[in-house]
Amino acid sequence: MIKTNSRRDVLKLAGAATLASLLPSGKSFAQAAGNVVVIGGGFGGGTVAKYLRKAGVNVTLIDANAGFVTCPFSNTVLGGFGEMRQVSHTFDGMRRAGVNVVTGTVTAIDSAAKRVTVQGNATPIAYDRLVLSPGIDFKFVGTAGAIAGYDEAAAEKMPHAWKAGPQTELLRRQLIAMDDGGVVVMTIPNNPYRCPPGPYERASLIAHYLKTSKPRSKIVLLDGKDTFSKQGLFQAAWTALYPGMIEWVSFSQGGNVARVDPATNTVFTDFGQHKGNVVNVIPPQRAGRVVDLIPNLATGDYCQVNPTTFESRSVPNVHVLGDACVAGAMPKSGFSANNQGKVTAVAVAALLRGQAPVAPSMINVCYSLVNPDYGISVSSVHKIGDDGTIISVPNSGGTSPAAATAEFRKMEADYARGWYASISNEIWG
Amino acid sequence: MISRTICSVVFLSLAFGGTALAQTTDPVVLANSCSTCHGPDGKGLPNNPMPPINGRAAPAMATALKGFKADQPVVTIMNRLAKGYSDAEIDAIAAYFANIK
Ligand SMILES: Cc1cc2nc3c(=O)[nH]c(=O)nc-3n(C[C@H](O)[C@H](O)[C@H](O)COP(=O)(O)OP(=O)(O)OC[C@H]3O[C@@H](n4cnc5c(N)ncnc54)[C@H](O)[C@@H]3O)c2cc1C
Ligand code: HEC
Repeated sequence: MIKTNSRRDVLKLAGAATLASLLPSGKSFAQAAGNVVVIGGGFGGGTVAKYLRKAGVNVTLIDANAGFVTCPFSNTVLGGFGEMRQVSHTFDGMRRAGVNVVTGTVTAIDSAAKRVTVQGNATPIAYDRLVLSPGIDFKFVGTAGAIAGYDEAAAEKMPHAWKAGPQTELLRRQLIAMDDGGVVVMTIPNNPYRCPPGPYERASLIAHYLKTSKPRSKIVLLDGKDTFSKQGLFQAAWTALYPGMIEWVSFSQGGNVARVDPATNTVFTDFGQHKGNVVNVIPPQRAGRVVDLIPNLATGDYCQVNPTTFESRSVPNVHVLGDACVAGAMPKSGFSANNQGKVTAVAVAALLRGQAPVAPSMINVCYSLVNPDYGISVSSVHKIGDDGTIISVPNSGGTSPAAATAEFRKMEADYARGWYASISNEIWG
Repeated sequence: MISRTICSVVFLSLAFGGTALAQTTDPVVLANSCSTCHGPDGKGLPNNPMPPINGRAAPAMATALKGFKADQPVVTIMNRLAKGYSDAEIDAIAAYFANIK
């Protein structure tokens, strides 16, 4: 899996280093030749672009939108204490770093000729290596595994808000319009999906809003699984902060959603039906559809990659990271995508220089707020295991302690905000 | 940044022989994971509660990280993260950040 360097490579590297250290900056020698095209200016793609520039590589970043709205911290908007502008970023920082930013949807990829076509642009963009970090797309009606009745039109009535932006604002408006005593129904898919603790953070922060503004209201969570991320910590916090407000219906208790009816705002499970004043459907997911433009890039819903380089296992010179790839023990999170982006950039720069990539080491931390002053986290440190997949280092990581002072929870809430500011600055600043 | 990358690769290769590269990775790759919270090159950001971690004497930084591994002192997250690194990796990370002024 991990390429062991031959003695010759090592000597070659040693020679390179000697020469490089003799040069005033080392830069002209080490500069990697080649053009990299990155699709997606979110957590993974944005990081790759920034870090490739640090290594002196030419980068073109293509995103369908002119800026990026993060899902992380979008739940604070639903909770009534965050603003959309706080989760909205431009690509100006990318341009300042020397990234060539192209706004438009990628509509064709020729992986043999190594060219990418952007909608509305007659001339395709050539690459030496292509990096895709397109995030997720939803399984709407017509796709295997979709919820019957849930399509793009239904999402205008029953928002998913699982890609941040207008959907977040729609869900927020619905919560504001709801009368006290109303019922918010949220449907949650089975694994794998983007941000395992995200739905439970959202339930917490909606409860925070309802507790302060509409205290007789209820939240029903219809879940496609029987256990969830940071479950003990979330449930203890719900009992303490929002007693009687959040009802969690597990898969075994009939939480699995089969069908929705947007006309009546009704969700049908295997066991019965639930009508909501507000219905938030988090649909089943798959890799962003742009991966389908390259035959065999996806295996099933996601893309298999070599975890040392995030290069596709099936298509050479094409790298896939973030939510769209299969990353072993790493969850689909912005933190993971960011750290994978750094590993990908270092590997791509090395490959362009004809050097062997080094073994990766990565971290994931998912902070969640259960109210503005109460934060919890789950963490893991990752490397490549003996089986060649990404594993969590044994006896490391884990969740915040079950028993902790209010001060400890407040510190984690502050660190969550600190993390968001740091990662946003690193990618879009 | 680039010349540092190459030098550290060479350092590892010379210190442990070519095969060590497969197990012990580059300090830059290890340290890149830290900047997600601790800011660019570990230098922190203004008005951010995440502490800067650059420019400390390497032995002191290594001692702090090894202390976190043993849950000393009580902190919110570094104890859980430090347990993911061998002592040799911690020494490499500490040396890396010590050199960033
Ligand atoms: C409510 C919620 C809360 C979350 N909270 C956290 C959190 O606290 N911490 C955390 O670490 N993670 C969190 N996440 C998860 C995080 O948002 C994702 O894991 C992360 O965005 C994945 O990064 P990515 O690079 O794979 O995709 P994205 O960040 O989604 O970026 C994909 C980009 O690709 C572009 N794109 C896609 N297709 C095309 C195309 N054909 N042409 C051009 N551009 C295209 C899109 O426009 C988009 O900008 C949360 C998610 C949700 C929904
Ligand atoms: C998820 C965010 C996060 C990541 C990633 C992270 N740290 Fe930290 N670090 C913190 C926080 C928060 C503290 C404050 C102590 C605590 O509560 O854990 C801290 C404290 C420290 C301290 C002590 C600083 C002081 O002034 O006392 C050191 C040293 C440190 N970290 C090193 C590292 C190194 C090295 C890495 C990468 C291997 C790293 N950290 C990764 C969040 C992080």
